[in-house]
Amino acid sequence: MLKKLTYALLTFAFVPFALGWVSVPVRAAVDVGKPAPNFTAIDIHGNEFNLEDHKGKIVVLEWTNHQCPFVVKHYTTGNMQKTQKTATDNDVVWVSIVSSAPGKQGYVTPEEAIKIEEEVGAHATTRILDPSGEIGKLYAAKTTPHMFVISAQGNIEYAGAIDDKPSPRHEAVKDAKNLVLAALDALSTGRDVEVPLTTPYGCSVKY
Amino acid sequence: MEYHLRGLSVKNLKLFVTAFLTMVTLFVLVAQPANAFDPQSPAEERYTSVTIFPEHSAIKPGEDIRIATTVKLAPHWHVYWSNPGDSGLPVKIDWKLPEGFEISEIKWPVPDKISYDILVNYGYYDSVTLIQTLTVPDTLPEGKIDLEVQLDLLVCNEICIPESDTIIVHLNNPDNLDTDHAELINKAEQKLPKTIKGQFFFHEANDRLHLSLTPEDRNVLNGATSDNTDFFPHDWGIINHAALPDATVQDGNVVIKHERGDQPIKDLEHVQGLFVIKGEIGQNVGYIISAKPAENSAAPVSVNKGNAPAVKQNNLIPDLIDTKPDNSVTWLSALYLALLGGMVLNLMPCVFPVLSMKVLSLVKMKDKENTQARLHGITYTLGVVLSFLIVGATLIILKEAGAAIGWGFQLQNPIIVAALAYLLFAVGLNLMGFFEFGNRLGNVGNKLTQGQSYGSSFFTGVLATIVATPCTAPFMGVAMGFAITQPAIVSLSVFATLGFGLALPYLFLAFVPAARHLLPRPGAWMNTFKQFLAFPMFASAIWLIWVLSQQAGPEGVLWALLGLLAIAFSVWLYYLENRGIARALSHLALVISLLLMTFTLTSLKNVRTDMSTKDYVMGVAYDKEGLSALLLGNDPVFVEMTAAWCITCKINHAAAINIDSTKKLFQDKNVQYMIGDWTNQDSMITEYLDSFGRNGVPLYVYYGKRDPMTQMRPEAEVLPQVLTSSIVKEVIGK
Repeated sequence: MLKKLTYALLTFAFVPFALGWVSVPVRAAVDVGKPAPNFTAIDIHGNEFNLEDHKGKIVVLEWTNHQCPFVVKHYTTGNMQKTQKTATDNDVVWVSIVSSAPGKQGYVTPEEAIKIEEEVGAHATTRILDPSGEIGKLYAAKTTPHMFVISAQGNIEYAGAIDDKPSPRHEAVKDAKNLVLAALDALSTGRDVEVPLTTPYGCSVKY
Repeated sequence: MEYHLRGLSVKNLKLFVTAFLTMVTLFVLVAQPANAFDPQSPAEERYTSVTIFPEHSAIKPGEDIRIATTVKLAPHWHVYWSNPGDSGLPVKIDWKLPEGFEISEIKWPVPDKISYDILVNYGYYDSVTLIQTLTVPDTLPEGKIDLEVQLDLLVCNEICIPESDTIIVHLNNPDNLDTDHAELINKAEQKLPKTIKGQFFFHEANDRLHLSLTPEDRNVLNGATSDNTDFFPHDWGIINHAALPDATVQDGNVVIKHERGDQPIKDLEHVQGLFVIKGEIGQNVGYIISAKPAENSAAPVSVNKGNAPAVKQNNLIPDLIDTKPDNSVTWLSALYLALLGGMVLNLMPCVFPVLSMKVLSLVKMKDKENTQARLHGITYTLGVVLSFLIVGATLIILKEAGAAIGWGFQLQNPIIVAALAYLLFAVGLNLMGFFEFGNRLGNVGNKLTQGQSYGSSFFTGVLATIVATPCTAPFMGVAMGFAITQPAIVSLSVFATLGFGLALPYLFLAFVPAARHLLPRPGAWMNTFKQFLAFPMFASAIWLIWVLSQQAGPEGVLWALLGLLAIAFSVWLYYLENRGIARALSHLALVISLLLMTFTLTSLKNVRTDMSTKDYVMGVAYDKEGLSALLLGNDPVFVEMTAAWCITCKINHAAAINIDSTKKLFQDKNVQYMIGDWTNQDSMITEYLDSFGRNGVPLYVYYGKRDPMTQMRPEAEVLPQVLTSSIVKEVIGK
């Protein structure tokens, strides 16, 4: 009897752990060097975008929020557009992703998004709206901007900041080392990316 | 510059009406877009106000003074700690200093954890004071000194606004020399994290960072519970900030498990950050810690001899298994377990006869010989403790030299096994009354009735230790596992305590005459009893020969048995009437027996025990890759680590595993069963034991089946060292 009681108590003691275990998801994050998780979405022009379709090409994912001061820094200085142009001129697929939830900073309708793209003169291949945050959470995107570079083989070879100057000051762009371009350069010449993982900086993604 | 205003629809604005202040600012943003996001221009509406004040405004050449920077914040807005977490930027203070001046790094108060959905930041609400030390040069110019400070910060409340200030700090201003902010700064310093000493270790298991923190000052843990303890890392990417910590506080030790971040933990040399006991907002208490890698995660160096397979570097296992070294074991609890284990050792069949004889000698002592009895007790204890220290030191030295060995290592060498068998056989012959040992080596026999020298008490202690080495008593495993991963002085203390535990029952009898009265009166029965005790000794010798048979095969056994024959022959010759030649021959026979002992080694390499085909029909032999493969599957896995010379292992196996009900249970539950045999040295198995913080066998580990919902296995479960079928049923059947 006593024994049974002890077991019962022990079992009860473990119930919270069991529940806690179940609610803990598999580590939602991406690891550099591991395959990039696939996703499918409709872009702002109404076309379907499936990441896997672009195997064989290098893909860059850019998390963005046009109202975030850090994103503003990179677009008003032309830094982001220049990076996009260099990439897409070299046959890289550039995907800008907006994971702001409806009602939060940076949320836009496809029409608004098209206008913004035109106004800033973006050179991205496509722009995806992810108001549910599904893609953002799949990649554990934390900031805007947060950059991911995926190799032609489909592995994540760079994750982190756009450059090495985490500052909202516009003049910081001048002396900054562009880490995405460095990663693209390494990949296209068959070298390993020198700094494959950096701390992303910026505003939080507005899930 | 225009485009960023596009999205400011009425819908967006709705969100911000919560604070009037915010509304006003948005109005400002809309009205003056050019200024809004450009930190260079003076912002009309601010969420922070910054003041910088020195400890005192009159400075002397060569001194260090403290300087505080206070940021006051609008309600609900926050600025960031040195590690801002998932987003944000730490407060940045740039000093433009005249030559000779130096400013220290910022000392940051303990931050709060600020959560937004899946993102977590570390920062401050309301007001925060950052402290720096200014070093004044040895020569100072006359008059006023102005220091310019450029301050950049990111202030956030759902959205983020960069703000910046240029502040001039006036020192030695003739108009204002009396200002003294020391009190204010002293007060602000109370919010800084404290530096503490202690044992701090980390390792990674199952994608989680495990921190084991044992502060030297136990008061640090006052008020710490599993709900309010946390770890704030200094560096980005160490942990997934958003995941909740899983903390246990016990016996002066805290274990915090936290889902890891994007940085591979294996490559880290240390993990630094704050151990935090959480309070109300702004009331967290923090301690600065720097954790070292747990030693048991270091890759063992393989010391392959003969048949031992080469270690294949395979990192799969640490990834798959949540190894749980007994983080909860503290020094004190290890000492306690060692004491207990040492005492239990007395009951082991090989030790028991030696001890019994020792006790019988006490029976003879009258009360008036108390002093004598005590001295015997002390010398015996000394013998045991010193021997344990020597064994322990040997183990540590070998470990340091890179050998992948553990407790019981002495029995992995067939020569030692044979030597022990000889010794037990000789002790048995002695107990039988065939001969007497010389005065030195543990006179357990005939001198019983004449009293003993203290020297012999000492050597009985040594003997007791030697015959105890084949046995790992229950409770010892955890203590040993702990001991071996600690600094030498700590592990030696555990070994000494183990010896003390072994000596304790005798010591007790020696010191408490009243306890001796409980023993039977001396008499003729003692001789009979003594002779009887020879049989456990012979039995132990037989068992050791059997162990040898698994290490060195039939030939090894032949050599060892011939050695025993030589010993018996030597004894017989020694006591012949005709002394001269017989004595010489007797010594010769003894030498031969020793030579034969070394012969056991020659046949060593021919043997490889294969547990799967012997008496372990049900299991497959352990190998690292095999286990990895099994763990990748869905079935539950049971791993048993054993050795032929481990009595506890044998008993457990016979009583709890190799029985019909357990076999059936394994079959019903599809349990994959693996056995590792540590009879011979095997660095692969040593590594496995290490990963559970163990250093000897037995070890039983159960990996529950993969949960079809989450695709995860529960944490590996370590079963107790004394196994019963009901424990097995309980663990597997649940």
